[in-house]
Amino acid sequence: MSIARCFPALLGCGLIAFLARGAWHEGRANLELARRATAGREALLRDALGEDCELHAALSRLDAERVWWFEERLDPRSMQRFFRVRNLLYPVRVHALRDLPPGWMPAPGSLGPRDLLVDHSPGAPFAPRALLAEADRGNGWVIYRRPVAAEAK
Amino acid sequence: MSLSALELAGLFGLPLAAGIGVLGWLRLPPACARLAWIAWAWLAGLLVLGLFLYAWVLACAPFERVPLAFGALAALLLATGLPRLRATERCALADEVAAAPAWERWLWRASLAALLALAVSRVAATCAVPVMEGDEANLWTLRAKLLWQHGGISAGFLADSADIELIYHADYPFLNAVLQLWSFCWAGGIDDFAARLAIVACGPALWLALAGVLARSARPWIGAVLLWLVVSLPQTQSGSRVAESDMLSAFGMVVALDGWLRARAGRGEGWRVLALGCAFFLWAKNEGALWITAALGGSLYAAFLPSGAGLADLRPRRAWLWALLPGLFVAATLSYNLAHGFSNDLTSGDYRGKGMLALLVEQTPARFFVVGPWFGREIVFNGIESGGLFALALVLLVLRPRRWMRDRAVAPLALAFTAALYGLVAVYLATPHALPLHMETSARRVAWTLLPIAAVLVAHQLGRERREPA
Repeated sequence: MSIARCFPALLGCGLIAFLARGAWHEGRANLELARRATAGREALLRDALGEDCELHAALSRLDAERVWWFEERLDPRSMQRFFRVRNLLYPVRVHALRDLPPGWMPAPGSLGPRDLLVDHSPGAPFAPRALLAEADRGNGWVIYRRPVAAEAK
Repeated sequence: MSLSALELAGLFGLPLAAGIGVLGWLRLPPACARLAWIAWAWLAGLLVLGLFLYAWVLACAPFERVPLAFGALAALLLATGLPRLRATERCALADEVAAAPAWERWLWRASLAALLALAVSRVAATCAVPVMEGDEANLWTLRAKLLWQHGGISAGFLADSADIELIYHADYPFLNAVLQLWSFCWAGGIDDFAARLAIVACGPALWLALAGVLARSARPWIGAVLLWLVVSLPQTQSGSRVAESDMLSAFGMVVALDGWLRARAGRGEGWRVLALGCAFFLWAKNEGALWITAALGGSLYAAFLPSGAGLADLRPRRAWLWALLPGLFVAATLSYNLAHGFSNDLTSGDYRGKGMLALLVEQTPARFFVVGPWFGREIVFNGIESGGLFALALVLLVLRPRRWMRDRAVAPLALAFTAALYGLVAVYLATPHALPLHMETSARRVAWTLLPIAAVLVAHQLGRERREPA
């Protein structure tokens, strides 16, 4: 009788022991992460971004108001990279052009300093790649900048 | 993270001090809630801080003065509230822990200590990971960044808020964004590592508040098992590390639930605690409207069950004036959206030109056998997502109906919980968005906010039957 009465509590204690084991591992991993938090912003960004760190660093070095950033693929990995880097670069507003619909053309003046990178003449397609010079390139992405006079096509 | 220890002390300490002061003004001394009191203080402090910052961003005042100005307000609240705390005599509600055998008491205390340590370690771990993806980054933190960048709710902020190329859901309540802004004020600029701090700190506070309720609901070993289950779930782990509003919502609901149970136990402080909790979850997320509708509907229905007092339960009383407090926060969100023409994508009907009710009627026949089974499989009966707590709560409500129907406090709660689950299913039946994507990306974490309530219901159904106060 007493074993039957104790059984639910014993079962509960067993469940707690099982869950506590998982919590122990999670707690240790959390503390390890917390220790890393003192490593400095750059090191933490490298940890968090992995290979995207290269693109983030490239865009951070440039005046992002005067460059276009092209994602060359539309797969989930590239989308994730776009959102991660876009969020981390704010308040710098970057645009990945890979998802612009065909025929899209920004209204004159709507892009701020970046308007200088767009050919607004009547009938001109929005094809900044043709107007811009490549500034940097990585795994699936390209950054273009406005060409200096000597490079202009 | 760029914050020093002193700045972190200010970031956490000032809202807590303000909250303690508010509890003094509300005559809620530590003795009336033991475990949960510090959680109440944190919640009250965040509400005051949120309101203060909301007024600040409306006025577009300079952010560098925020810590000093709020510090002065917190000091004033603490100085005036503390004497009231000392002057207020209040005995604690009896809980099951004191009367339990020694092994259960130790199991309870050790479990609580371990779970709090785990929750604090989650807060500390967030400092090593920047906010950079998901709704956390794309909605909540981005909104705080926009506030910082534009110096408050300025013309620039409103223009950016309306730019759906940049950010969605301009109609969402402001609590989350201003709490992240609080971190930026201490960091002196946008800080992707510190942004979450005030929000993720609601994790440990939530477990304290829940432990306070569970300690009164069932034997300590049952309460300990339920706490371990809820805190260990993968959804809890991920939700505890991000600055989304689901944690805030769950925290507010548990405090509101505590207030409700106290009010029904004839405790005067119950209505004040209920008002604080409701204000918090209503200002945290738009889902608050669904939860409060379910709660009101459940209370109304329960009034006519055998345990209810029928129309006498609905007779207006002075305590109902505390509803003005959550009403203030609802009015803040509504007036902002009305003034600037923002509306909710689900309820306004501006997405497909049809209202939510029309979409519900139109889409239910085709979607019911998709949404219903999905909820059953992925949430209610899913051991990984809910630890089986939703299923256990529903099964216990069905198996022991007299237990909850005869309890004036638990009957409305059980009905509200069931109505909230059905309401959540109805949201996905009526959503104008693409169904699999909308459910996959949000249903689990929104349902998770009801999980602590499910744990309390399970505890009540398994605990000793309570005697109604005379």
